[in-house]
Amino acid sequence: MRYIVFGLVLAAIAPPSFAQIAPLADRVARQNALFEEFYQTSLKNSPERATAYGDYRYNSQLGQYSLAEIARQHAEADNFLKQLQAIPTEGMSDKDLLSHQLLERQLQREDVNYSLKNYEMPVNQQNGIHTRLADLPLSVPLDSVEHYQDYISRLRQIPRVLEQTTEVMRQGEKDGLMPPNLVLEKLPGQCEGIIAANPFLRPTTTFPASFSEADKKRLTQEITAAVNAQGLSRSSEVRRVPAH
Amino acid sequence: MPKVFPAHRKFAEFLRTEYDPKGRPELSIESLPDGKRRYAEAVKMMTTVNITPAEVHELGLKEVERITAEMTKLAQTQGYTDLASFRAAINNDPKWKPQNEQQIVDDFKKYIDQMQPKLPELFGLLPRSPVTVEAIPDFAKAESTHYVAGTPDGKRPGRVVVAVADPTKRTLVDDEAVAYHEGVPGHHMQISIAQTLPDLPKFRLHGFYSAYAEGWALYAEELGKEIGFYKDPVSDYGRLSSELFRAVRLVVDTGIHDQNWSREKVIDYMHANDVNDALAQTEADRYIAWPAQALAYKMGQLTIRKLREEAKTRLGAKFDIKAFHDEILNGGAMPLDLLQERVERWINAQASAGGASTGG
Repeated sequence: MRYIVFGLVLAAIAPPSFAQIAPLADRVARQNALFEEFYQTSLKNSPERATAYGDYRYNSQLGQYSLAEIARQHAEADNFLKQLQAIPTEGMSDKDLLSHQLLERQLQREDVNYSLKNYEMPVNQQNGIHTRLADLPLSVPLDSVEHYQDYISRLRQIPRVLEQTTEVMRQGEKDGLMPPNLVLEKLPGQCEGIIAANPFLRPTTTFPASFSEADKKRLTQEITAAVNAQGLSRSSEVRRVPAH
Repeated sequence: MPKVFPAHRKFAEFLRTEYDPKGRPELSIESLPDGKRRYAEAVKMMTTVNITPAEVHELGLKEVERITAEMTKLAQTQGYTDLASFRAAINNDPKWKPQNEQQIVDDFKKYIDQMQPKLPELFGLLPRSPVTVEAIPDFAKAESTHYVAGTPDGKRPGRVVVAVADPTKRTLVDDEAVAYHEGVPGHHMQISIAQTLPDLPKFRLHGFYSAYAEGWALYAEELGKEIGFYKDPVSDYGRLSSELFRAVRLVVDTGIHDQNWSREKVIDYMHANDVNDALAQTEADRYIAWPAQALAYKMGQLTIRKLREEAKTRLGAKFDIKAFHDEILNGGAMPLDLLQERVERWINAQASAGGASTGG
């Protein structure tokens, strides 16, 4: 007890930046490494976002949307926040200090959202996983056979993503976090409209000229099979700025 | 292996039979558990400033009044006795009624194309990647006109995606303003520049804050005026009506979520402020679905305008509009309070020195 009090007194009279604070260059280096780790983690967690940024390392995947994954990502973000807050900003340049503040704010904002369980209402008529996925053919690169294979791989994961989203929405039902009826009544029709318009086959009509006939035929078959549709008609954490 | 279409049918079935029947009758998000906090946090998150729903509502009413007065002045310079008769003349003029969907898409293209060569008059930083215009597909017709970012290397262009459903019920009056908003110098300009900024941590190149992005885009609508566009007074009315529309949102979003407004009351208020019915219907549902998002535009625009006035006053003859715009864009997106601090540091540096940029 006595010891603790002594410690507090000492802290109170110690000059503000003292002994344990690492040299500025070390702190800035640590912070920059953390920024990079955070960025790389965010791409890994959101393959759709990586693709939107033109980074195709995760181009064959769709993100994980389950409750368990949402909780895991939240814990991961909290850990980033703790590490960031452990880096003292004394003496940093305006630019480094602002970068520090920006990531701290972003992580704190995610914390508030998580505590409100806003993720349990993921779908509305303006923006939902169903309409974002329907934009997939326009949101991915389709320049090579490999890109087409990536696209097919993503098509095959759409059912999993819709299942995971369903699980999250069921949790919303339990928690009483439900959108208004007049939003919900538009949604089933949107799903059926996507089937009717069938945007997923579009890439079978836009093969690059360099593709062989055999590749075109095989890819068309695989895309058609993944969609489970016949005949022709004509997103993804792509950054969509919602509207004007 | 499960397939895409059966999965969609199953999802539609889940929505129809299980999820939708449990929907809430109330429009306001405050009717949910922890509702007051839920909306208050949404307002803070979307505006990135410390402001309450009641304060936003008041600000909206004031802005509506101010912009309406400007519109009235324009009506009078056009020879009309009041705003209502000017509006009636515009709304009855077939020139501004689209005949078909393609005409709307072409209109957007025309305005974006005419703006591109003018950008060097307003900016040092310029977008290097292309932007395209397309229609929203029919299945997504509940969506509003929006922008989808391209890749930083420009291989996939930025996309302006335009609402065109029921074209004959729409108007071309606002197209010029909205084209500058979604395309250049609005979203496409800001986002494509942010994606390739040098010397910043990568997470800052892709930061997203509605108030900054939408505030910039609304501010950008007005820039067309400064370089001699909005030549047709009706299009200039469209610019003001587009700004009024964002002020109206401050009133109705807080009306719905914080003051128990009915959908009818929202639609009536929008009609009274010359929002056409097709737009009013999708917009009302949008505010209901997406609390506080629509507040971002006006809050961000007011902040950027205020900073510009501050820079002009402080710097006098030294004020350079290109340098000011570059300063808003060259740190990437950020919350408005941090933007203000950053720009004020820049103003101070400009005022004292010969003009070196602070960066950061």
